[in-house]
Amino acid sequence: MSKFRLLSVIVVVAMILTACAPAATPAAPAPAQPTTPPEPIQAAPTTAPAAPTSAPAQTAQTGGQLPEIVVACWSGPEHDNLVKLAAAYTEKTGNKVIVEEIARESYADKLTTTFIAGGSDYDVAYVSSDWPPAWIKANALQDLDQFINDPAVVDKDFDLKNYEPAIDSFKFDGKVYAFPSEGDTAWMWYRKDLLEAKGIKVPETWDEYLAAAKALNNPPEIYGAVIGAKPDEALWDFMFYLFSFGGDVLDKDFKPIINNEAGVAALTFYSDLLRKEKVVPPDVNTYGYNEILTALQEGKTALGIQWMAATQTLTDCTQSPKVCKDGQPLLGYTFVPDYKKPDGSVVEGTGGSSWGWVIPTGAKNPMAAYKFIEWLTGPEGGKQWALNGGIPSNQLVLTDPEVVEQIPQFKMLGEVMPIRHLVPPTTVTGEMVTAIDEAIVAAVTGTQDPKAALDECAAKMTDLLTQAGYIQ
Amino acid sequence: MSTIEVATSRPQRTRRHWKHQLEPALYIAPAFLVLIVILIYPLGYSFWLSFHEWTLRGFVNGVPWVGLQNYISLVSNPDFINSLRLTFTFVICALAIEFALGMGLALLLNHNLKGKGIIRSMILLPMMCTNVVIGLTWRLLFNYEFGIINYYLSQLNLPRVEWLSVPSLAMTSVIIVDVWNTTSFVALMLLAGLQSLPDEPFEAARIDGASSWQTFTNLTLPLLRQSILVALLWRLIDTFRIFDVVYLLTAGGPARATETVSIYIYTHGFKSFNLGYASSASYAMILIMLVIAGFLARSIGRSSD
Amino acid sequence: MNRYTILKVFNRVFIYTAVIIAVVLSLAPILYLLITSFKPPELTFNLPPVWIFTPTLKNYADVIVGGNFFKYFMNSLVVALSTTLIALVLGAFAAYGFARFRFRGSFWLRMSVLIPQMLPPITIIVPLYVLFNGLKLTDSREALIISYLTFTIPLSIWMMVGFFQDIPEDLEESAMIDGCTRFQALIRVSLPLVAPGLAATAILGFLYCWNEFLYAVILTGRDARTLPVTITSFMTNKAILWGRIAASGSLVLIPVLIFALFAQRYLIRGLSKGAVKG
Repeated sequence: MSKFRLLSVIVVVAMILTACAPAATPAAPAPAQPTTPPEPIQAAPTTAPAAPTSAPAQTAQTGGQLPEIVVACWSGPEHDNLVKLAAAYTEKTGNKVIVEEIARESYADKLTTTFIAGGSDYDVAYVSSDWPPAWIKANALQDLDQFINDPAVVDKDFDLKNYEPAIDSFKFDGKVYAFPSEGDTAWMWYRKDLLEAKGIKVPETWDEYLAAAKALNNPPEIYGAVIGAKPDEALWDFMFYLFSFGGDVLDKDFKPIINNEAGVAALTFYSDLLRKEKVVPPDVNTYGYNEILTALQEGKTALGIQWMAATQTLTDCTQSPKVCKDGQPLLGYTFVPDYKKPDGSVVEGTGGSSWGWVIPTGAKNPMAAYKFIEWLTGPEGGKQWALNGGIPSNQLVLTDPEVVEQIPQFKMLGEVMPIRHLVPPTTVTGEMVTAIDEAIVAAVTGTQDPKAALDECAAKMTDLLTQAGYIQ
Repeated sequence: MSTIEVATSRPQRTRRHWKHQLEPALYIAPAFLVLIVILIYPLGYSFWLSFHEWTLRGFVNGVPWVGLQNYISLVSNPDFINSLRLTFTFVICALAIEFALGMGLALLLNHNLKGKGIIRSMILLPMMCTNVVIGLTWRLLFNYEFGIINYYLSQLNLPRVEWLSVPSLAMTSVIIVDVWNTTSFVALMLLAGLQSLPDEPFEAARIDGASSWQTFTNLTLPLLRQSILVALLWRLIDTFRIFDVVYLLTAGGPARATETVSIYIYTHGFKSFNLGYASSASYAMILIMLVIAGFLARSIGRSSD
Repeated sequence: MNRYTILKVFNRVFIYTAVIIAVVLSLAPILYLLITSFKPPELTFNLPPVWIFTPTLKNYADVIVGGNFFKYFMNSLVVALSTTLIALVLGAFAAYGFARFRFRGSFWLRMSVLIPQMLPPITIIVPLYVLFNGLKLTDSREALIISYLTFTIPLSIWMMVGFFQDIPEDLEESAMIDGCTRFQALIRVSLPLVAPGLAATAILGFLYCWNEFLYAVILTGRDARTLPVTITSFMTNKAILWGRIAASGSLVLIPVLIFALFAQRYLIRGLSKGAVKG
């Protein structure tokens, strides 16, 4: 054999071997290596937030090594809050908690890919209540009942009732799959100064809202109101209009009722804000949560419906200087308007979202993960979460006097809980939300009239639900 | 050739012939082996998947074979046809503008300018930017309320433009961004071609008194044919697949006005997690691209002879 | 001044003006990005746009300090360099094979190389993840390198074929007559001649990898994250932190900027030496 041929054969074989061999030395240390057992709980934590004093040491160890857990969370205040609490938990129990931040745009995609492939990258993930059903169908999540019903694991003071009613959105087939954390809703925001200047009282019904918007509408300096009809996010804004008009997505039997009278009325009102009354900025079909926030912050709109999560930003004069005067915020917030029907009766309702912590099937340390989220959403962790700016769903925390004193919003939140509707969690919720988003966008851009758009949407939803077995 | 000569030369011919066949294989094999090893599972699996129904909710019930059902649904789905139409519109418009501007730019840069190194590097910058940054920056620029483009328009007493929120304009805005991003690449390829052209024909044309336009159409263009076709092929494939920039600018909206095939596949693949259908859309797209690319590649081959 | 000189001057002015316009249009959005990165975040949306302001390094500080920015930068760099190197070697050899040898099916084989290039990443990302999960390679640089090879190898092959075709075969042939094997002739004679082409291919390949987003975001986590993913993490669910996006976007641009200053010479020389032939 000539030298050349030998060389070529060697090169080829080497290539194949390189391609096939798993990495000999990973570029970074492999995650979730068991840590050496730490010393018993340290004396004074240095800069970590004040560790709770009275908590008995509920560590999750089965004796010996304490496992590491990896928690996935999307970028934003929840992530920052989580980092602080993870540090506190590590201090308290010695379990190391690693927080992985994932960009918002790709968050759901990344989690879905990881979960259905049975990946063990994460032990806990922060998810919206409409995502789990499909994952559960694909056996990608672990149920929490296995830990709750195990006396050796569960905290002795644990009571599932403290999580009601939020926990209902995370129960499937009778099992609990997540502990609820952020239970959000939206407020109606209004410019106190502008309303006062024109002698308008704070709107309480949608008619009053529209009238106030028209009175304050002065394009291009300022618009009366704002909506957010961006594809992918439209429903998260429209839901407040839909539910407060008395509409809903599905009825008890999983039949779509989004195109009923109330739904059509809501979408007509919503799209008319742009098309007929022109009291919102013309580019609202590119608006999502961020753009509505910007519009309010920059003083571009006098009224708006925006999530509670924005409260801190909008009432902080260092972050929103344009809507502050003499150190006082000019924006006030209150409940979303009610709908006064033509017959005079008044309908109440509002929307919301529910986020919780799940444990994927592939988690390396499910029990440690369970103990962490039990603490995180429990009376201790939840309290810190709230004091750091989060919105917990644990009744014990929401009624804690210290918390209530610091965050008056929670009282309001408590009041809207009974009338709060959520997007129903089903295995086809993702697709249904997409269909509804499309209907909203079609109505707002004028491509279809609201009734036709919603009818088409309801038909798609019926198809999906039938395929998924919810409707016979 | 007498039979005796044939008989004696055959063994040698066979060995040399066999070596001749083997030689190119040894050079080409490593690259292909690596590609095959990496891609055999993903490509094979996704191709297999395109003939099955695979949805997240139906996952545990198995993955039933549906034959060509996915492909048939594709063709009968108005949204897919819409995305195909949009993609073609986008590709044709963007490439036409890019090549016209790129040609002009290449001709400009072909002159001996002062500081041409710096100038060329600056003109190359847009093509070197990360797509994410481009999408976000232009989203800021195009913002109706706060974008500086609209601001300066209003300063000139021109009406503000709803760049990204009006279905009819959204595609134009996306084309503008893509043109900004990649014209320099096209200019680069064409400039390289220009710089390798021989001088004599141009001298002759000048002596003959041909006008610049005549020189351009009758001399430059034909001589540059190779460069143009290769640049076209490469840009065609890239533009067809475009995703990041469009997604960050408009997410396929408003009202599907910019939903190109890549975004369509993404929506069905990730949002609905209907992987069987998304795979079939991908392969349909690849088929179309292969056909077009095949034509172009043949033309390239021919013109180099 | 005769008519010819006036025409020549006008020509020059026209050319320079056109070039200046081209440069301004190319640079304007990038300059906007740079300026925004030095602005305090509250001024981002101010109209009239604030061009004169006290620049602040706060955005850059927020991005670099306290995060793992440097680690992500190294990830991007290592992945891009490794991929480019491997793709260059494999691709150059394969291109040589295509350029020098005529065999049945060579056209179709070359066309098939385009298929990975045409693939929308969505198609194979889930199976790729499953693959890497099985190999325990999730969240690793290796996973990215392997994924990126699927489009950098085709790029290398297609670009280098033209360069090799332009080197006259006689040079290699005379070397082989002098006793070299074909392989030695390739290494000693042809490769140095196509060096500009190699440089051009390397630069383009590096750019593709440096700027890639989708594979990076799905296949990596906190360990192997690359820069484009880091930029999107500033689009939080509560606000888009434009200041930090501008700062990180500018930082990602810097190596590319340096590249551009060197690259343009090699790119153009490289591409024109071999001409852009198929």
